[in-house]
Amino acid sequence: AQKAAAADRTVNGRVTDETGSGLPGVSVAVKGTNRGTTTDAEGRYRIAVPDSPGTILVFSFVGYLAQEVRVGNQSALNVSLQIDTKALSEVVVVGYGEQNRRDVTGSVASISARQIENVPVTGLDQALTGQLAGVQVQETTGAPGGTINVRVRGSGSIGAGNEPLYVVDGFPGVTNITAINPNDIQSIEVLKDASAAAIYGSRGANGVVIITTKQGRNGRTTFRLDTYTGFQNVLRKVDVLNATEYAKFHIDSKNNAYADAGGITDFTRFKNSRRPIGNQVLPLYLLNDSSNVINPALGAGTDWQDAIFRTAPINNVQLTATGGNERTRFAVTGGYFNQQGIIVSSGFQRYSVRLNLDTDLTRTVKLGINLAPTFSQRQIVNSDDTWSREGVVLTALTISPHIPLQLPDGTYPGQYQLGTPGFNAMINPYAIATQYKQGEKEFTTTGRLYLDWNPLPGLTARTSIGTNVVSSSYNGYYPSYLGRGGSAPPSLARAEARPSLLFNWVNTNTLTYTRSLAGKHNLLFLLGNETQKQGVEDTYVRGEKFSSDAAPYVGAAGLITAGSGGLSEWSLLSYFGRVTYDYAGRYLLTFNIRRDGSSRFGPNYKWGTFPSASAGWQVLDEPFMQSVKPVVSALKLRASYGLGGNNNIGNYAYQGLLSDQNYIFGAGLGELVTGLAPASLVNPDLRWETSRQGDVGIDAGFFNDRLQLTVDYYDKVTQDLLLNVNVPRITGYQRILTNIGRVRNWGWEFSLNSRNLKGGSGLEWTTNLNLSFNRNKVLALGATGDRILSGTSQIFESHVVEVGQPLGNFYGYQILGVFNTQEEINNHARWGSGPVTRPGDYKFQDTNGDGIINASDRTILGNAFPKLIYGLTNNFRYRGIELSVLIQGNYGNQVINGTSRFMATQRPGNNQYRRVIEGAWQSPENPGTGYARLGGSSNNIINMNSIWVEDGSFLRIRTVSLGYNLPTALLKPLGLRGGRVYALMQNPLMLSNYMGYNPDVSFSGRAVLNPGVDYGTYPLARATTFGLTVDF
Amino acid sequence: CSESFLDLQPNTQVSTNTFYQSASDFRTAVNAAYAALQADGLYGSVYIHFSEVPADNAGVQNPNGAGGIAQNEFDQFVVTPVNPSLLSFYSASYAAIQRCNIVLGRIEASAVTPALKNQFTGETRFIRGLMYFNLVRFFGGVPLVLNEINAAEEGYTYTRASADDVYKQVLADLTDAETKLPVSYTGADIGRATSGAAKALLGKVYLTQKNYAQAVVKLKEVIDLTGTGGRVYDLAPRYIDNFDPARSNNSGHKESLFEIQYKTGGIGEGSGYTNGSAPPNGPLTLTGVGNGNGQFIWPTVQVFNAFPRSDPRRSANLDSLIINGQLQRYVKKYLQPVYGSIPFNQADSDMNFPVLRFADVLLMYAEALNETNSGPNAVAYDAINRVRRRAHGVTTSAFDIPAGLNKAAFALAVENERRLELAFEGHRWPDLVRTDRAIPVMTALGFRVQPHQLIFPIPQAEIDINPGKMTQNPGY
Repeated sequence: AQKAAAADRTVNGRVTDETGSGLPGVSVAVKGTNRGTTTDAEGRYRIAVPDSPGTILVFSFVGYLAQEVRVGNQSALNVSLQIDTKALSEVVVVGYGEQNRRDVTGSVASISARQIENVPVTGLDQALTGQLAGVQVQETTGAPGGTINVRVRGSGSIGAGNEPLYVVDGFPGVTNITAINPNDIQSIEVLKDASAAAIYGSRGANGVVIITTKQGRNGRTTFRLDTYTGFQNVLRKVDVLNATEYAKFHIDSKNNAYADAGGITDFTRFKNSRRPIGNQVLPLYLLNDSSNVINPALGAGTDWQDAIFRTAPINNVQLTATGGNERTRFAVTGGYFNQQGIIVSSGFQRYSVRLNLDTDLTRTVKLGINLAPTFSQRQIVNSDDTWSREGVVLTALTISPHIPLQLPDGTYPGQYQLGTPGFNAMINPYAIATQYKQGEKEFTTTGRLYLDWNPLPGLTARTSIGTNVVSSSYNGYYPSYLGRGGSAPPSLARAEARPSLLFNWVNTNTLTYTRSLAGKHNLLFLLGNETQKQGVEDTYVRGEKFSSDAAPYVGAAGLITAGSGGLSEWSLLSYFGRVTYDYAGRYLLTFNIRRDGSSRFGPNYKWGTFPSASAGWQVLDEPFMQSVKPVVSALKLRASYGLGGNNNIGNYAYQGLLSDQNYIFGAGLGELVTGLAPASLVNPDLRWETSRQGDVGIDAGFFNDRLQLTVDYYDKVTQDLLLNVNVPRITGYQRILTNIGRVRNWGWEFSLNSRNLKGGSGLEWTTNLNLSFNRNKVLALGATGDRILSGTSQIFESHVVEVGQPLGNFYGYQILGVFNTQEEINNHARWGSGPVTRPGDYKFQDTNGDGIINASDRTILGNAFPKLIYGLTNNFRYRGIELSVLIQGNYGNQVINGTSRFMATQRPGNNQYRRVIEGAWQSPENPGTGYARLGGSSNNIINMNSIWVEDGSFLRIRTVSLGYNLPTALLKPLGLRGGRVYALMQNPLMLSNYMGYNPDVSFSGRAVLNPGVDYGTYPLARATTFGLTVDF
Repeated sequence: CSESFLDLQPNTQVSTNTFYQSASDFRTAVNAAYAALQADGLYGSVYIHFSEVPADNAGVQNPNGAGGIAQNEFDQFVVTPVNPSLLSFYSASYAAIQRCNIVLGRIEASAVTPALKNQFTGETRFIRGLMYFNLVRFFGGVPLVLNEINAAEEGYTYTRASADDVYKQVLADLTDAETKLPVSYTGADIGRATSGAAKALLGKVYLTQKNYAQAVVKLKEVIDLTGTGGRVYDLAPRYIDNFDPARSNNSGHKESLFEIQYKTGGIGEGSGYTNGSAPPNGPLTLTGVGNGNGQFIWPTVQVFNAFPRSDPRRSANLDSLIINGQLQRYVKKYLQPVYGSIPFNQADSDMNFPVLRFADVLLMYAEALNETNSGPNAVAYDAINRVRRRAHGVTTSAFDIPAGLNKAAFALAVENERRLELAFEGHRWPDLVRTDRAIPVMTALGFRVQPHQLIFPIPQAEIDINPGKMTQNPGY
């Protein structure tokens, strides 16, 4: 507390909310001076004021009406703040400006600083997940520092990406959002409809996420220390066989296959070694050559998941200083974040600094600076890939459990040492994780300098220059003593280096004019232009022929075997404008327009124009509505329509480019000659995807806004879809990029805020529920309407896009069940070719009813997109204690469990899901739970089929946090103004019937043609953290 | 200013707008057509599976392994239209054809000298002819794309041409190539297609069409072809010289007519034959680098037994060893260490793939003569015995085939000689199909082969994408 000057006296008191509980963090200022303080955790304050009867104290807090109180001669002054009755009235950031929530006519969802502060977050994904209707957040990987996958109102694009545009402090197009320290975030706005997003023109079709960081404010300099520490574990383990169970499965399946071939399966009558090699049981699984007894030495074997997973610490420290005077305001933060990954050797560290400063140069000119340098580094494990490319997760799941983790000589054995035909040559997954060194370091700076000039009342000119520079460096080393590509060691050691420099600059100039006529007609005009250019310079170098493994960098390589590099650029030139008009705040109109020119598109379609219009009606302001007011406290109707674009197609895509196709000529060993052939076709008509979106919505409040409801219905049709579409191979190409179709997304969004208990009894309880129902349909595909089949890594033709169906459909053979008797087989359609079907084999659907099962019987097996996504947050507050629970989930989608192509085959060679083996058909009396018999030669289970498709619905308790605001009695002696301790659990519980780690993933991340595939993805963690926040 | 701000050109790649002007541009474009032949879908891997795995010479190393599943369908005559090898081969063939079509469509209007115009035209027509010959043999009639494709829509306009029309085009391409190509090259051009290669391929096409009279004519032209140093082609002194990478492209012999060329060294030009024919878990000395995987070619017991123990070609082609207690047979001729050098890396060896060599020409000549003359004449005997004498390293008649064979017996002798001499070089299955022997030979081994399986199905993806126009082969 500030020591009172001689002429001053002290006033103290308590600030409460309308329920009577103390409000922490309320700003208390002496009007007309620089003096100010904020209330402590219990709402108490103490301030020195001039001993003058005219002294006025101003109490202000976000979301509440400010109150001015004349001090008079009182020394104790208790104040009760009222919630801003225009409860939706906080300021929201929209493109190139701000609006009162009350006046917004578009669909904008926002997360305020208060919401973020309630539940501390370790990443942007957590700030967004489950919080906003219409916004789906997927963590495509659990790897520390990994990217997230955000969808606003479904997927409108199949070839140009579905990621929203990220705008950070006015800088559009920030790509590495993981570099943002989530504790720096003041608010997040998501612009969902065309009216809100059209001002971003050719980049607005997928929605816009606007992130605003903490700004300084006028008043005493305050400091905040945030720190937390915790640990993470894998959310769930996958249930696979142990060594003895695996041996039993191996023996049973070999016996079944041998019995199919007419062999005798009793080893006591016919020794194992006398079988043909392909039918022999691996001797190590048997006690001896002439018994059916499993080798008892196998035991449980190695739990490979335990080998690669660990309890991993997570730590964060951050110091924030904010303050300023009437002319200059600042916020400075410095943070350190360290997250070890739950897979050994993976991790992420971030060191970040952010400075936001603005100063009034003259009475009419303001200068502002945002500067955010961040350094981060990632330790990468090769997780998301198949075992044949050393993917750690899939290898750990499928490698045989009898192999020891480590041999006495210190080496790490792999499956290749089995040396028997039929076994896949896998490398020890623990060795891959720990010995295959991959790391990336990145230095990011975003900076912006802006100048505001207010020459006349209501007129603001702003010019700003922003830059985003990302310098990164990847280094990887694959040592010689690990096998690779299915081969035993030694392999050829390999180092790779990939330095990259991204530089992006943007210049934005806007002119804003507001005018109020006759006190009723309020007008705003915005005019602007923007110029932006990005270049990425990157280089790739691969070195081999290392003399030892001691120097794991390209420089130590005996030979550089690959190198490439280049500069890839795009540029964007834009003009935009906005007009808003309202009559007495009751009738609201907004028009937006943007015209964009882009380097990415063909000469015939260089420029695009994206207009939108919206209207709002504050129904409650009408005289005839006054009678409902006690019940209905707010009611606004909104409607909007407009255009948005999507230009995410990569650079130079319309040009025909030649690629190297070299050859060898000359006698003997020959010499290299250069060859060049086109890799793509010229397409001068390449243009944006344009989406036309209509939206109607209601914002309503009831019972003095104790209940707030927002409902939106939207309908979005994206046309001129850009797709690298498969073409007949007779063209000489596999795919050609074209504008080929239309997709419609439509749906409902509900968002409900409820103050269930106001806290009169001391307990306060609020609930926030959001529900999003998106539907999706392909309306047209190209001239011929031909469907598009596409595959996922190693899975041939797993997805189909066809007219009349939603995107994200899975495609393959439908399995109806398992044949129980020969009679059932005889009565069913048969395979055109292939091995004999026997009882216990899968029964495939004869979709076209021609009596023959073949590729033309493949059909739709499921869909990757949920019918419903939801989030439910409950906050409880009792005196200083706060409990917050976030539940989040998906309903009605399916997942392709790609690991099933190894782990649900009932064939030896890979470890199997326990559910698949225990549920296998054994006999007509013991028909299992829908999985085929062990070791059968079931037709076509190597191709995409319905066994690989699982229910993707889940319900997850996303976070539970318990916080306690430390009492003043404890803080005061320490000289602290506020303090909070909390415990936070992330993902404490997931309800899902899925066999893999996490149903909410997509192996190919942002893949648009083949979403919803799990294929050895880095699993999600359960984290427990303990935190402390101190204000001083 | 604004337009130039938006006019960004690629910095690291050449755009097609500015290319295809000079002779050097066209030479690079022709080189790219040759490079297409190295693809996995063609001679890099799938060609050998198409041409050997269905027949009795080759099986599948690991039917459940990564690459084995697709191969196994060919081995067991259960090929389905979604087998990935089909699409891979089909795509790679048409990629090569497109590269040829680009050159052929653009070179006439260019300022390239007439001599080079002839050479480049001849080379690309040779490659295009080879591609269509492969396609028609494996798939029957296929779409005849003879012009550069410039827009996606064009790809949907083609339907399957009849097999006869494809053969007509193959003959037209090769006949033009034969006249335009030089007899030989020097220096850094050695290895390009020659008129001799075009004639030999023409001979093979005629033989496949059972046009034996024309086959005799063309093959005799190859045998008699004379250049500055006398006869252009002859058998190499030793059988294994054909596979020694240091002797490829007729370095030290005259047997090679056309081969697919590879070079080790981590420059993206190596072949995978070495590791792909070595057995898994074998000693490192077999490959020189890394493990074998047996996925390129894997011999059957029958082919092992087909070689008499006295025939040196047995040990040149094949070997066996015990690995982890089990006998493993493998193809030896593509292992680079056999020839005294080691590859740089896995799937990066120096081993070329022989497409046409003089022994093949002589055996085709013997076969054609036997058919035209209702039995073997002395010239036919000479041709086959010339191959056998070289194989055994003798000049005497000690290993000659018996005299006095009738037409049928001689035909069988030629068939067997081709099996041994040209083992694992991509001849066995087309030979059996061409001579109507595929079904009897494979049936005798216990396989159930139906007549429709003598050609493979059109890849399903190609039908799915253009269902109105593309039709499946009967039986699939």
